[in-house]
Amino acid sequence: MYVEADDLRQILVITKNEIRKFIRGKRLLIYVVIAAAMFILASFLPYIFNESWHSAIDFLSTHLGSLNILVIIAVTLFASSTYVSEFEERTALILFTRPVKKTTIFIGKFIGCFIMEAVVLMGYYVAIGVTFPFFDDGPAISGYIASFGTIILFLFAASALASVFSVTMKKAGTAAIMTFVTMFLLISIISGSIYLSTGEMPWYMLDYAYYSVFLCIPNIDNLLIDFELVYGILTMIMWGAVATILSWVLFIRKEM
Amino acid sequence: MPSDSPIEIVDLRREYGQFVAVNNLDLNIRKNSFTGFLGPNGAGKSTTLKILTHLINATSGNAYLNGVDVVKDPKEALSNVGTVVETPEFYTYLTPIETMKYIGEILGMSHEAIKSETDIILEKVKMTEWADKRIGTFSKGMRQRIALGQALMNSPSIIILDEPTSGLDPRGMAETREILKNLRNEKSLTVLMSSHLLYEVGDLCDRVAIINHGALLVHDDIDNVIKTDDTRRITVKLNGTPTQDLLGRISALQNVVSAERLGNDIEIRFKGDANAKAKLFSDLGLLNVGIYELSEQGTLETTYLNLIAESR
Repeated sequence: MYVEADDLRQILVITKNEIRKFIRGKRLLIYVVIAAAMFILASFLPYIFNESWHSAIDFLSTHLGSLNILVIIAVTLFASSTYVSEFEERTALILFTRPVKKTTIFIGKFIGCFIMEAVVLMGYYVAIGVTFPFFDDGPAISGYIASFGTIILFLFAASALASVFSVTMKKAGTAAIMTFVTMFLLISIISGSIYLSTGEMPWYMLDYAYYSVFLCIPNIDNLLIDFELVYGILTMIMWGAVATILSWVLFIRKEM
Repeated sequence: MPSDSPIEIVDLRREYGQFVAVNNLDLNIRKNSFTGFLGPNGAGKSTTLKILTHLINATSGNAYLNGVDVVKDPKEALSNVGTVVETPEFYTYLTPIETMKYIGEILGMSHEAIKSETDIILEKVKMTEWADKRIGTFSKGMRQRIALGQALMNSPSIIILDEPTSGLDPRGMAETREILKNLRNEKSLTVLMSSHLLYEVGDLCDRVAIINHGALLVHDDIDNVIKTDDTRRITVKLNGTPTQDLLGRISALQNVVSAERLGNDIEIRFKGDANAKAKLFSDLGLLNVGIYELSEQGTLETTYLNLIAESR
């Protein structure tokens, strides 16, 4: 796997087109609507029940607790379809017969997808951040940027996992279902089984690694998490790296 | 060692389990020729073209485009090649202008070159009127014209077409064929086109390569291929039903190889030139059995059918 200057230029071209595809499609709109709905619900639901937020930390931990679902929705909408759609919709017959390496296509599409997923996630984080001045303890919150960095790592791992389904499935719909079921159910079931049988927290599982997003914020103390932040970060990097390499190998071997 | 042929296929083989799709194929396409690539279904045409365009890999052997092995260095090999494989689909959210821009940018063309070439190409494929409309709304014929257009970006020296009129309605076929006819005027272009339509190949191509079971049967100028086979097929239509007696009498005529009943018609295979054909027509008239139409099948079609039959 080597990349030359011309490959970098082509990666940029493919990334731009991938972003344009999502901007002009309905998926981005669906993603934004879901993100906005999640933010509004999580923020204002207590007021419906005549409750209110006691602190910015409470507000933040509630939102961070649901953001992993937004990540799962993002990779289901974007990353799970990005490769399979080229084969299913036969656009590969145009793109792949051009003087461009498959590795270049793989990277360009992955980056395009990842940017789209990350931008909305960043919007969500910004929306949380702008509420801090309304709380007494808001300005004192630290580790917020690091927490965003960690969730981006989680997004990378989840995107890479979705890419594996995207290069192995024949239909985009199947890849999306497989991604959602795996991220939402299978991994949780496996983690839960490990925890029940060993009594130890499986920090090496992706769903547990998500707790690193909380661990970045020192004041959040209402979670029973007994692993170090660095383990969570390494877990996400490992899942992301292994899944990316696997999907890349499968992609360059895939034939029309 | 690659020769000066723009497209050179050397000992190419592709296996799918036990099935051999391309069987040690050797083929050199002459520079600046328009070569028809013929063969029955499953003969290995599409597999060969997919290997040439790097959509699939070869089990063994080599395929060179402009002297560069597409197996070893597909990016360099495809740098001066335009392709239309099967019926490609386009990014429906793009307009023809944006599609050309996307392809041009991948090819590394400057913005000025992309713009000027796009205008010329869209004019050439008669899509200027729809240049800024989303492709998602286009008919299959219009999409195929865009497919041909994108293949022309950056003025390639080789164009590879895999059944370019397949699946199109008669109007779409006629439009696509018209564009392909104009390509013949591009003297610096080498075109390799697979097709099932023999009249299309006869109309467009100056050379033909026929394969079956993944191996080459013949590759030559169309005129030479036709000359090597002097067996012709005549369809006879007559009032009434052909009897066995009549088939026997026709079979016994001079130069006739066989006479078979096809529904209410008779298909006659005979050997010989134009004089022999004239003699046959005269003899058929003398039979006085109510013949009201005689038609000869295309000579390329006859040659093709004979070659395929012999290779079984």
